[in-house]
Amino acid sequence: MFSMSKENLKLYIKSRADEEVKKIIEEAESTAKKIIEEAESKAARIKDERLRRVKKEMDEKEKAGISFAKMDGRKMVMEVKEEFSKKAFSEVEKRLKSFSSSKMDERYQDILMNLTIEATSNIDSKEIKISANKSDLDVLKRNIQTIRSTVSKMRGSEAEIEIDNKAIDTISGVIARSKDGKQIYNNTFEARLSRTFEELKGKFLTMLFEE
Amino acid sequence: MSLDIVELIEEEKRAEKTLEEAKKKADEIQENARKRAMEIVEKAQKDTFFQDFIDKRIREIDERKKMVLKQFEDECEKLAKKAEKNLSKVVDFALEKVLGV
Repeated sequence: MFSMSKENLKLYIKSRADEEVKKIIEEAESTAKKIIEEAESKAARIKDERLRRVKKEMDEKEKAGISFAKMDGRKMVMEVKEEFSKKAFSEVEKRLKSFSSSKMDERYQDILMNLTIEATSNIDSKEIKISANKSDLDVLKRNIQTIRSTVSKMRGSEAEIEIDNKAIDTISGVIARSKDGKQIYNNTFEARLSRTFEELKGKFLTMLFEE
Repeated sequence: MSLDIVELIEEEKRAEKTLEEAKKKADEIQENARKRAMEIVEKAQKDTFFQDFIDKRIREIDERKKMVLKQFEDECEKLAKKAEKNLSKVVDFALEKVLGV
């Protein structure tokens, strides 16, 4: 070292400094590269996670959307069924009204008698009162003996059946009551129509939509 | 000889200054890398990356929903035709039940 000249020493200092500078910059660049690589790796993980989440959200959205569409569709089908069930009900009601206007028709009178006998037979009381609309009251009054004897025969004991002179508002048919009013059997067309559609709605729907 | 030492000291000072500058530059390189890294992560965190994918899936879902509804509409149409054809038969049957005949 002592043998080195001044110029050589200066060169040595400079080259040592240059080497150190090179090392510092290389280390900084290496660290910077690592920082960027880590960031890119983190960004990739974030993107993957986002994509996975978005895909899941979209799948759930699809599932819910299809589910709602099916619900709407089923509602539409139910509405069609309900519409035709109501149509059938209205048509039967219309036909009943038309039928009840044929008061003198023998078939009509037979049906009225049958409904009256059925209603009175369902009242477990000796004394029974029958209500009907104004025009049906005439038919019933004319046939009261037949009604009494038929019901008495069916029961095996005398039935005291009276006709209420106060007319009720109905298409046709009767309401039978026990004298104490505790038992009532509504056999008007309206009540029978409602009962029939309640009991047989399933059957009607099957018939309506069969091939 | 003393002049030579002074010159060498000067050379040493220049070397130290160069090193300081290099350290500053190194700090700058790392600081820039950190800023860039932050930008990369922030960009990844933004929701706009998958907008095209989302739009495409929404279009697909809408199409599938329309298809499902169309199937039900067709079914309703078929049901209505059958019911129109069978209505009078059902009315006759119901009427018999109501009249008890």
